[in-house]
Amino acid sequence: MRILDILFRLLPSKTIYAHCDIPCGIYDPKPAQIAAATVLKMVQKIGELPKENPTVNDRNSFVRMVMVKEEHAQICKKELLILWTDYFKEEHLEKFPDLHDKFWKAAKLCSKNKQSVDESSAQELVKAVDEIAEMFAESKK
Amino acid sequence: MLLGKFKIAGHSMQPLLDPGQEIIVSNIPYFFRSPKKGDLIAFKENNKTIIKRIQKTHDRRFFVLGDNKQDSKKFGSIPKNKIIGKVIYIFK
Repeated sequence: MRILDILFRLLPSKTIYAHCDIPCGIYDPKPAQIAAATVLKMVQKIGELPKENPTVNDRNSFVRMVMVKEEHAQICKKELLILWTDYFKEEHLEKFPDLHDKFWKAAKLCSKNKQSVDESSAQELVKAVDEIAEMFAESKK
Repeated sequence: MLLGKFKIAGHSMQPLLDPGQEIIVSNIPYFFRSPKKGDLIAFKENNKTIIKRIQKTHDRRFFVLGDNKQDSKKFGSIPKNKIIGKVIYIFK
């Protein structure tokens, strides 16, 4: 063994990484939760706008709120997809067998909230994202 | 890789392997058998050579993890063709 040790020491060495710094990222469900809450808030604010004889300012607010709703529904979807495809791994399916279903439904709700102004759909989105956040917290234990 | 010498960077294999410690990796053991649970392996990922321990095998894929649980995030599974060899010698 001593001869092997001496021979091995003569070999040139290269770096081998014990830490997987490239595939490991920083993951957090908070941005998706904030985006979902923003969608709900915009839906509620749109509902509060006067429906009859809206002023130019009311119309301006309506357009801006729809834009923010659209933007945050897209942010929510993007953040969910990052968690789904990058953070959660095959082994998480053992602990969370409905993982794919939860993400698929939440992503679909993002699209539904872009297509409509419906408070119950926005509430459903907030709930779906919160459930994913709970799953994420559970996976860290 | 028949035989290669590597120097450890990072803490995820402590307490067995410290940063700066050197090891010998070879694929010769895998000529005779498949990688199995508990093997210390070197594999390629994003053009980097990484060392981890096989945690379990499933459907011809290998789930790998560092020994140091505080410094080892989930890595996921890798296919056999990414494995370049088994750690066969650790310099003391």
